[in-house]
Amino acid sequence: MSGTTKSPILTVEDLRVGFPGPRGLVEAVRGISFEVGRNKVGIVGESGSGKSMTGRAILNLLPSGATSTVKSMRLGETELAGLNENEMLGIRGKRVSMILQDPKYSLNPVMRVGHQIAEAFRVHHRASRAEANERALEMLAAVRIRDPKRVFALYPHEVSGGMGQRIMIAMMLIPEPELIIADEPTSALDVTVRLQVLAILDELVTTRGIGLMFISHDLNLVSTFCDEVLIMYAGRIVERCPAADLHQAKHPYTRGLLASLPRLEDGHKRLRVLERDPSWRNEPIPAEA
Amino acid sequence: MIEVSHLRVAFGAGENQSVAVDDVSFSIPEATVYGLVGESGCGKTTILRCLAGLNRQWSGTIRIAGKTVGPVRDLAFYRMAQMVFQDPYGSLHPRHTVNTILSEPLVVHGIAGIGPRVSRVLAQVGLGESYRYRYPHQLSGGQRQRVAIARALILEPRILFLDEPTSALDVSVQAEVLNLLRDIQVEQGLTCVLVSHDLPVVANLCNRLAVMNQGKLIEELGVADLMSARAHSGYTQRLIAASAGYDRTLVGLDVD
Amino acid sequence: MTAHSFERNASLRSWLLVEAPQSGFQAWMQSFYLAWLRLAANPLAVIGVVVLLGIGLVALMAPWIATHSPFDQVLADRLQRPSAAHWLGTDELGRDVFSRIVYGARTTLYIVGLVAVIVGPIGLCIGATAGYLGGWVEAVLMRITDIFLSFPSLILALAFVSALGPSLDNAIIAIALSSWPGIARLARAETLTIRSSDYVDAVRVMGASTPRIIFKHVMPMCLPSVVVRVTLSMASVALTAAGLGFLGLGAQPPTPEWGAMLSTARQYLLEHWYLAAMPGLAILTVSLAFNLFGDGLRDMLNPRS
Repeated sequence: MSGTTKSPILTVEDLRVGFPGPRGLVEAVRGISFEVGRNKVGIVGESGSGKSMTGRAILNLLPSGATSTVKSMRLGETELAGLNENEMLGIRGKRVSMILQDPKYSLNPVMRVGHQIAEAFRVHHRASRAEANERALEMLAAVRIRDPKRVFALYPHEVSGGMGQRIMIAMMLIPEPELIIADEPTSALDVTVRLQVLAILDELVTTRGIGLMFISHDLNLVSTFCDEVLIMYAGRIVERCPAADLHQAKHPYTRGLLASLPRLEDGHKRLRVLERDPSWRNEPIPAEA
Repeated sequence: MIEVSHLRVAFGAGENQSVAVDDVSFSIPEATVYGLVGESGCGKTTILRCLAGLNRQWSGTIRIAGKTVGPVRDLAFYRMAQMVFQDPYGSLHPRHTVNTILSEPLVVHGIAGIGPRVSRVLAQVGLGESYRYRYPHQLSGGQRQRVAIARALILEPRILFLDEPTSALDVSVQAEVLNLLRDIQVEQGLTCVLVSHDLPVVANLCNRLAVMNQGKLIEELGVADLMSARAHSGYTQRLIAASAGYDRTLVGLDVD
Repeated sequence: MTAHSFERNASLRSWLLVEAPQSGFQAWMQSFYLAWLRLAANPLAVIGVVVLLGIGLVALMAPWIATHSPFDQVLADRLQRPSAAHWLGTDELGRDVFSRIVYGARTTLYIVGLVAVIVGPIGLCIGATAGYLGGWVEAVLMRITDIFLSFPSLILALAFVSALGPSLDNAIIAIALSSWPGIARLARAETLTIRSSDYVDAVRVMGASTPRIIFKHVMPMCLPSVVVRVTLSMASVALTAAGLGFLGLGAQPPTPEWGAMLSTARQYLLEHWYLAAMPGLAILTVSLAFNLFGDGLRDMLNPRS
């Protein structure tokens, strides 16, 4: 298991995100620290747990009005905390890319998908148009699209959801980033397609040694797909463990979540309802696994 | 209670016609929960909308409570059959308070005693009086879905159509809503049709289910068959395997 | 502020912010209060509101604010420069310009207010009905709207006024006729998205009648954008009213009206520039205030954009 490598790709220390509202400042992320190595780290939580804000804060893509502070955020040797918007442009897309839930909203509707992938390459690398197109075709083949030439010339509305998400993966991987942040990348897909897309992501990330931050609400999926799992509750990490050991989780919140999942083999059995303990909000955070 | 035979729904005309539901027949006994399962675009939601009277372009026969119903329904039908929608963020009017939302069906049907009835139904879905004058945006997803269920229950229907009632909710909230739906169904002997893509949810609520793919009904299963993964068609087997989570060995990469 | 009133203030604030309102009225006031907080966060919109309230107050209190009667002609004092007796001077008939501008606010607000009251409901009803029902009803209603939209509004208003005869009321009808189609179009576009929403399906499943769905469920959702649109178009209504007045087709003399004042002042522009500048400034202020307020309303009602 490549769980914690010697040199983590991303180290985040004491990240906080807040929104000012009419009833005072609402803290969405309340001081979390974690590392992502050359492995798949799942961030699981319910809505409002701050998991999406964590992913966005790393790329400084927070919604307007939100503010974030961090003690330290290192990508390899680079300190990201305190970079201005211009310097961030050199990081975003080139060294860290982001895959969002619905490819429909992330692809430019009036541009052929192949050109979008080629464009993503040319933004970050000096290359001729022909060379970039060549790379885009290779990348389409790498995400297991059978006829890359045909798909290259399609417009986004002509591709299915699963194909669209594979195209997004191709586009995000072509600048050869060190880290990928995937925010619910398969939630909009049907179950059978979902597994294919995950398998492709799995293969590329593993063979190319890319770090993957996989943000999801689906405990089952994360525990079977990722190497390591962080459970977020009310803006903090309440539990971290290797994904394979999630079913022996210790924190009552994690255990409660697992117990409230309906299972096929349990049939009509009444589901356990999660009792939230107010002390979970502020108890000490477990140390790095 | 509900009998559907040779139901067919097609959208568009001429060459662009697409058949959403193709010759589907099933019947649901009283006081049971029937699941319609499949991936997006398989026609399961379309069938539910035909049953609820929201989709009026269909052919075939639908019999509900012993009576053959047409595309247009009367007030008596809506009093007997109600619906809960998938997205609790979209199914409650954003500018109406919970009180207004719950009173509306009573006003439409000219039923007296609105105040106490709203209180009773709020209690029934586990929301107190303190939620009565809130707007939907002041409620969490689970609370909203409880309000939506309360709205469906306030007319005391005998049939409930459930369109993915928990798919927009967090798992812990999903458990609460599933338990609530089960309690109400048992207590009032409701006949329910549940549309879902989530097999564990279907296993939790349904007595029987139909698996659909591309508008066709592939097979019908009892809940015991589902629990022990005894399915005949390969498609159903694939759905069951996929619901267990990610398994590298199961996935063929080169399917396009 | 005394401690007591501060305490009362704080309890009012908490009544407005409490999470579980006790009545429909409280819930209503809460959403107003939160909307007001959003509006107050936009300084330009606040300026717009303050200016509009100020003009409204001036119009309301005109008899007490004006220093002279707006109608009294003192020919001996004609065309005087601004002085202590006549703050903004006098016009060609010796009437006090300041007083006429103050009373002119009444005329302008009367036109703007009546047009808003006529245009908003008509546009909303036509647009929402067309959008919800679709089919031939929509085709007929929207083609009528298109016909009205295809005329430049001032030309349309001119045509109506010349047909009906120049008067203030005819000017209002003419302006209303030329400004409802935009609102109907907007309401229809909004309705098209609302029509397919789950909450409308939910009331259909209740068995609610079509008029009930349109009036109780669709229209309240169109209302914010219609209000914004009406407010923004008030600026151009004020300009059109002044334009009609300028051409002698709006308010008739001796009614004090800014456009008409501007028109007569034009003849004395070289020696008495302030005669034209003052009503011009008043027109500018009103239409600017409506624009600022309208923009603020839009931001307030769509917090996401």
